[in-house]
Amino acid sequence: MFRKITIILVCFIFITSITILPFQSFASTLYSGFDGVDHYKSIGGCSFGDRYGVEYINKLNNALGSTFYNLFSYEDKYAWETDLTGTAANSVDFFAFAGHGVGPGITGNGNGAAHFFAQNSPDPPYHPSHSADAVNADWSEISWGSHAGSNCELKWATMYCCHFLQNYGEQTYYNRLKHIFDGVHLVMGFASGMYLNSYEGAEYGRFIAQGRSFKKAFFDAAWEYQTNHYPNTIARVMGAIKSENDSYWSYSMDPDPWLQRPDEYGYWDEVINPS
Amino acid sequence: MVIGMKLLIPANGGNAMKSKMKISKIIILILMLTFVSLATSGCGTQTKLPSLKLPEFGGFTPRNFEIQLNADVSKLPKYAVVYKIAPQKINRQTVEKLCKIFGVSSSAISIKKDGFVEKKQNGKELYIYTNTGFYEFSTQSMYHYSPGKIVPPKEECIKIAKSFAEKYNLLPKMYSYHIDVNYITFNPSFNKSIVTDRIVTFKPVVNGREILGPKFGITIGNEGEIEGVNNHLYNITLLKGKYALKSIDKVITELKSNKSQQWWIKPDEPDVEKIIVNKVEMEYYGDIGTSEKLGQPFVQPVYYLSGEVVFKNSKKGEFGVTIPAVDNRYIIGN
Repeated sequence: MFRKITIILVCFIFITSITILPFQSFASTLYSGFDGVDHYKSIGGCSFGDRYGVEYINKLNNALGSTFYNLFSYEDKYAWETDLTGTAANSVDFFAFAGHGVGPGITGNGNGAAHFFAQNSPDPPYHPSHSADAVNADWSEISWGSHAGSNCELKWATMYCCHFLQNYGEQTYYNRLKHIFDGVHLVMGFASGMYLNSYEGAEYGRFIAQGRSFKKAFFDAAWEYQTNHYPNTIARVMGAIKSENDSYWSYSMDPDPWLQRPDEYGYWDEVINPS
Repeated sequence: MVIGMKLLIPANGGNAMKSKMKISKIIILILMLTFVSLATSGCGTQTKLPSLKLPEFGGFTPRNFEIQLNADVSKLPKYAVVYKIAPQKINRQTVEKLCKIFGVSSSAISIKKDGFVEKKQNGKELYIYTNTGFYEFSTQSMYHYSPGKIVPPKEECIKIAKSFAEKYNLLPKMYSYHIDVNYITFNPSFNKSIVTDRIVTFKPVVNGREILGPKFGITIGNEGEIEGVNNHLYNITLLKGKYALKSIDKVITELKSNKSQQWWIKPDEPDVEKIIVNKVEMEYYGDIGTSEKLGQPFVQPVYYLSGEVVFKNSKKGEFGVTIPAVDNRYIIGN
């Protein structure tokens, strides 16, 4: 009798593990990290102008509360390209950048990028040019997710800036964007210009903490705040289709890289103020 | 001599009297003019307003450029009213009504410390924020594509949304509404795009002018199903008096000096040579804050200028820029 029960229990655990675990896992401690830039012009001399990137990440971080344990929050001259291209972003589960984003026309190397003024150092000289490598974390330099290396954890990234996920209607740029996805589940961002409103960080963070999916939280917040006259604002979520409904408390297993499994990836757009 | 003196004194005194009368007349005239201008503008009775904070465009904003004004500005108002915002009231009856509309049980409702009511039931979620009067409802299908999902075309979605809002009296009567239809797509590959939802967005209009900021959205999904409702509207009350607006010359001076403005430029190019203003409109801007706390307390008039942009490399594009319209003398700190 005891043997039968043991066998049934072992079978139950085995079947449960092969049916549930590949699709769902539940969080223990999740970590967050942030990069935000305000003083592009007033400190960095970048003619793109100052923006409220720091306020956005601070409000986002506060609103997330205890949902994530915050590992780092780099601001202004301490926010660097290498935070995105090196180990920092990959060391956390949720990462967000807020500041300027630039298209391939600015970087000059055929890739979009997150833009900084510090050159991977808190000290001057800052921002030698818009296209300098050290002030642009571009698509070709970013590999996010568990396949990018050991101790790489990044699952969800948010790029609160213009153009970072824009392919300009060209397959070439679309293919270059795939390079980012090395096990990261979803990347939230914009495929157009956008407005920076720090309230959006507060709302997005609260929506995530309420347990909404990252995709829904990002779209709901964008609908609220990307509200002005700019025609065709596109809030975009790119990533693994199986991760579409990821929330902080229920999420998919890490996907294989996009370049290995192109059929398992896609993107979702929210088109606001369509012209 | 004495007589002469006596004669002289009244003669000089008469001139002084005339001067005094002239001065008195001028003072009376000035007082009358002041009274008339006060009566028409209401200056001095208006509440001073905080400086309007507009979210900044993430892309390039022009610096050191020429401005060519082609717009007819003769019909722009010289004065405008300002509104104070107030949350829509949420009480137990409102909560129960919303639960009933959205098909979630109203039993065991408790208002949480941070001011919201949360109900999750059978895949439906309803959040009601008691401090602001905002609420959000969604079903599991919202923004989600499943094979066979067919979303009605834009015009059909508008009809469905209007009918739903009217049936349950969801839109405050103090506004009329301008309707935009936003949409969500799922793109399984580069060239394939499927519409999964349409968000019929009601933007409040007061006295014929749209208020940018607050809005109400109804998300329509498969075969017209209501998949979501987002209420980010508040009530407004008129502030006493009319506020003088900036002249167009003042607006252009401020544009050139890069004071608080909200631009957009397409394409996103760095070097602007000239902007050609083809249209100037007056509208309103109303901050929404967050669902937990309303933002700036007033809905203020703004100018929206739009037209063409010419870049230094001779390329052309479009632009729009929003500028606070209330004369600076009514703004705190000026």
